[in-house]
Amino acid sequence: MDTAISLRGVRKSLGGREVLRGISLEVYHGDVFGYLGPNGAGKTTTIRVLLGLLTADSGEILLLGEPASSGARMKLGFVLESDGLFDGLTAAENLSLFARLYGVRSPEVEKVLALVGLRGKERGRVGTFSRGMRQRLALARALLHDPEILVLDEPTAGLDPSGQMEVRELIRELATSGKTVFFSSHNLDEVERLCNRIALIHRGEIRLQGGVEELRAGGQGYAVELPTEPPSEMLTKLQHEERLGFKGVQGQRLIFEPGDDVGISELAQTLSELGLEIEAIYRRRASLEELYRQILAEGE
Amino acid sequence: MRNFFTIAAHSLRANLRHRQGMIAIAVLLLGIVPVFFAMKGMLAELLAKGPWDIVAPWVVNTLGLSGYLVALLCVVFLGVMLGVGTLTQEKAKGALEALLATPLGPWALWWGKVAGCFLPAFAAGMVVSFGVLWALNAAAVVPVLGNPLFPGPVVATVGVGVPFLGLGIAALVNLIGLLVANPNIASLSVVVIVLAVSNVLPRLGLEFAEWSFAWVNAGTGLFILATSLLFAWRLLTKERIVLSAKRL
Repeated sequence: MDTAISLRGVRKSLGGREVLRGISLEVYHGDVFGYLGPNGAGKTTTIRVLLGLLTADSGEILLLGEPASSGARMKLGFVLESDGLFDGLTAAENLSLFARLYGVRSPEVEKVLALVGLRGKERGRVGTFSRGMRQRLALARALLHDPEILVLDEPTAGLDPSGQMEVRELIRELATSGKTVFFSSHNLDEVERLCNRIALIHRGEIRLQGGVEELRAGGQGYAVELPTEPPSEMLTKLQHEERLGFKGVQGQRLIFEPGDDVGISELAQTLSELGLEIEAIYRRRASLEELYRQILAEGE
Repeated sequence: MRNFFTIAAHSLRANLRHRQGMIAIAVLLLGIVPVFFAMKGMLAELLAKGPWDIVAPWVVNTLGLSGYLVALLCVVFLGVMLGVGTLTQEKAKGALEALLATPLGPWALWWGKVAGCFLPAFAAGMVVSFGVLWALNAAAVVPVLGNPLFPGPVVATVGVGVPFLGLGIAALVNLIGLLVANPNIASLSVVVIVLAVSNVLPRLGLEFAEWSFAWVNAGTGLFILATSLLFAWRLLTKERIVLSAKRL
């Protein structure tokens, strides 16, 4: 699979603190890659290093297989944490300015504005735009030079729910059109819905990386559905059966994370012997939130 | 080079639209009117004292002072006000960071910004300063002498000395504005420079209508420019600009 972005052992210190501690990432062509992490984990620093705004102390950065020079960075479009638009200029003037900096001779301003749902707003002064419109304009700016990779730093931060939905929909459309999208977020639900691959950064280190499905599927035990909520004495019994790895109850569902020696049939048999009526039993898939909490807790 | 012109054109337009720029232009125009009438009164008084061969040095010196003051107000004051206003706003809103995430380099950004504030100030300075000199001649000198006076040293001070001083200060102010967390510190640096220049020049015993006065002003501007270039060569990077903006 072709690699769109590759970071290998990237380190960066700022003000005497090591913000990136040798991070390595692989983003493949066509990925919608979610870059997760709590505030201060190093997400924005990674994006700034990627865009050439900060210089890495060590490590290697490759964009579409080439070392990240200013020429290679022409293949990147970006939306930064603050939209960076000029309030005193119109939407069209903002786009034209950036088009000239990218050397685009005849920018298709109307086309990109239509793509982000801002048709007819060319002459609108950006200072009068809502937060959602500004974010869409920032996305339009990122698309002006038809980049292969989009780097978005928390693109839905500060937007109301409808604004968030619009931006997510746009990201989906861009991914469908063949762009590689790398975006940072601390909204787990958003990442789970949009991304096919993710990485989790915590305290400057990549703690988790891979496909969303494969990460969720990995070793997260079983869920047992019951016809009614279990009595409390039954829960006490289950807690005493240590090898079953009873984790808790969610309404009529029991969660187990047994060791490798206990399979699904053995679990079902043990529960029947204990007198539980089972409606269904299945391998449980962890949510990203659970993985996230687990990784963060390990780092504490 | 293309990026330099792009930023210069953008800054020029943004500065002229900016509220602070409009206020600066208004203050400047209001300030020039009393200067004109004060100087007109001084010239009329000197010329009335006659004879011409005795009062000539003071008349020429008064014209030199008039041209110098007006040019300094336009080129330095207007230039700095125009530049710092937009720089502060763009830095705080992350617009400079967005510009630097494109192929734009820090030097093209710096010189684009310098051009964006210096060029309108220079153009306004030349029009207004020579306009005031022409008006003073028309109002006070021509009625007595029969012909206008545009002494060479005065023309050199207004047309060369002050513009170089303005260019040096514009370069320094924009460099400081790009590198420090609070670009208003840049405005303070101008006050310090103007105070220093206005204290040092009289101590050199120079008259406003001397050739050396023009060259001292130009030389001061070139010195500030060279110092700015030296600092920029050591300090001006995308990283420093981005990190200084972060702390706002």
